[in-house]
Amino acid sequence: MIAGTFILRSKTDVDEDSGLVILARRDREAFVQLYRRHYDVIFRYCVHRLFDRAAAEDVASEVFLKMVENFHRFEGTEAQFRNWLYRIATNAVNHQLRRITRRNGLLRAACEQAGSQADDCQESPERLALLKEAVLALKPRYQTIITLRFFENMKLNEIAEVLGGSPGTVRSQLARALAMLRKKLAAELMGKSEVDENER
Amino acid sequence: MNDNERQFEEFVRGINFDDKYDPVHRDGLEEKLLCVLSKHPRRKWSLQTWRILMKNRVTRLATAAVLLVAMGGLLSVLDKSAAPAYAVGQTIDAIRQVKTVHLAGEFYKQGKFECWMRFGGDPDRPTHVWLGREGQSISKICSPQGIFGLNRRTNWVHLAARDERNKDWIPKFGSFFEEAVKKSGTDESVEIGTEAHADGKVFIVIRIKTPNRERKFLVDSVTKLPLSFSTTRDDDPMEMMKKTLAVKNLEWIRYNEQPPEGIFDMPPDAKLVESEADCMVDPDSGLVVDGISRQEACLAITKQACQAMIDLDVAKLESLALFFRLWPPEAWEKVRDAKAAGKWIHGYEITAAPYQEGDVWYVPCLLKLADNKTEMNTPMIKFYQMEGKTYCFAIGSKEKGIVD
Repeated sequence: MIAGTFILRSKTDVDEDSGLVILARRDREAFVQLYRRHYDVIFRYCVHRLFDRAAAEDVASEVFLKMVENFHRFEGTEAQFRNWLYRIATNAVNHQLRRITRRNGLLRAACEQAGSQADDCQESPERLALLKEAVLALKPRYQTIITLRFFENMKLNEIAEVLGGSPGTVRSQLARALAMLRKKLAAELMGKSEVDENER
Repeated sequence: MNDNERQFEEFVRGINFDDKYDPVHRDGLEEKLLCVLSKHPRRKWSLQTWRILMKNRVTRLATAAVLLVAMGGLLSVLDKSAAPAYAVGQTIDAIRQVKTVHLAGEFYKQGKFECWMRFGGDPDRPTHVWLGREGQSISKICSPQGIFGLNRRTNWVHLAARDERNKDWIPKFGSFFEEAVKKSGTDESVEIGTEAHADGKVFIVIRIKTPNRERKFLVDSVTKLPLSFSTTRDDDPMEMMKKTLAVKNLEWIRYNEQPPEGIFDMPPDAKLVESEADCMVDPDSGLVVDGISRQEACLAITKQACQAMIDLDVAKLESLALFFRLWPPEAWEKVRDAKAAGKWIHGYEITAAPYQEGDVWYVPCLLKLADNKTEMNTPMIKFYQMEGKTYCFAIGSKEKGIVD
């Protein structure tokens, strides 16, 4: 259940030093420190992508276990480490969203066959539900860009570092994603009169 | 930032979003990560295990639902204060002392089952859960080793997503009675009496009546622990069918028995498999496809499954296509009715050649229904090596996804 207050935050402050990352490979306390510095940001990213706390915990777990699995191969600064986590999280979230789609299809089919209706979907608050519907209708890459830009407060060049590609490409993809969102959220983003005026 | 961006930022700023992490999850995961790092820092098996462990959360439903329903019905016994002198304190105290629970019962949908739970000092949180269904070789296990499905026939193990034992929605075994009393409802009638059995023992009997159903609970008059419950009348079983693992009856509940040795353990020689579907297959089902190509095998299993659908050959369908193993008996009843009314599938047409994506194959197929209606169904087929033979199974479909 999504509740509470959403506050735009700045991204986690991570320095460009690779010292902690290197130390974390052989020192337990350094590893814990590194993990704790990034858990929060990755969890929030997952929640903002999935709109579901339980699923976000699953995916965050998957991300960090994958991190442990490949940690010995990672070389870079802590900022690069964060971007690496974002990349793992992005893949894991996309995979999770595909699974959710499949699972919902299965549940619906089974319930329909049993002569009942699936009652697993709970109503979200109106505004949040609207955002969820609009964002999840985007391509996964656009979803990622929107989340990193507006929920993780990243700059275009930082998003480009996470996703690969140039800031220019990210900029144009962001514009396209926003245009799509604008269509779906028109009534919420603007007053009704403005919508009417635009339509005229 | 342009106007579009500013507008959207304003929009999301006004949204309530619970994105604060749960320290319990963070610390639990930290523990697991450190465990992985310290115990098996470079071992592929361990890392792979944990990777798979975090992928699936189906078994949480099993463990939670068993707890929920095993307790849930009992909770309502004392929703009314009809017998406060007997009920609350004594039963709550008795339950708090329980170390293990062993029970057998029947799900509304999935049939008969058996379950073990063990508590490590805190009766609100089971440390171990074992759940098995009658006639099935698959059991679901929740232990400090993880949460996994074990197919005893193949000795294949599928590790599930996460440990759900600390989640709030799992009923608190030690305090559930007390909480239930606080939540007493208004639409139930409770009758409490006694029942003498042939062996001379006298039990407390509690009957709960709601508009749609009646349930009977048997409570040990000495230990004050619930021993069984049964649904004696149900006017709306479909309501319960909507729930994932609703329990219809608990034939018996036993306390503080010693669980069989190793029941919660992952066999040391078990083979880890990627998806839950892999754990469901066994060499007693599926289609043996040695000596023919993958394409021929895909066509063969698709044709056989489609024909079984037309003939409503349930055993064959469940053998070839894992999806049908999830269908409850009531769903089959509805299908039989549909067939009798001429509304079931009466034909099929394979519309394109089998094709492969990764380790699964697909066969585009058009199912023909009544009134000239059609439905596209593209079985997802996977091959397995078991006991020296090659088997294939329909593990899902393009349209409905994998069975998990």
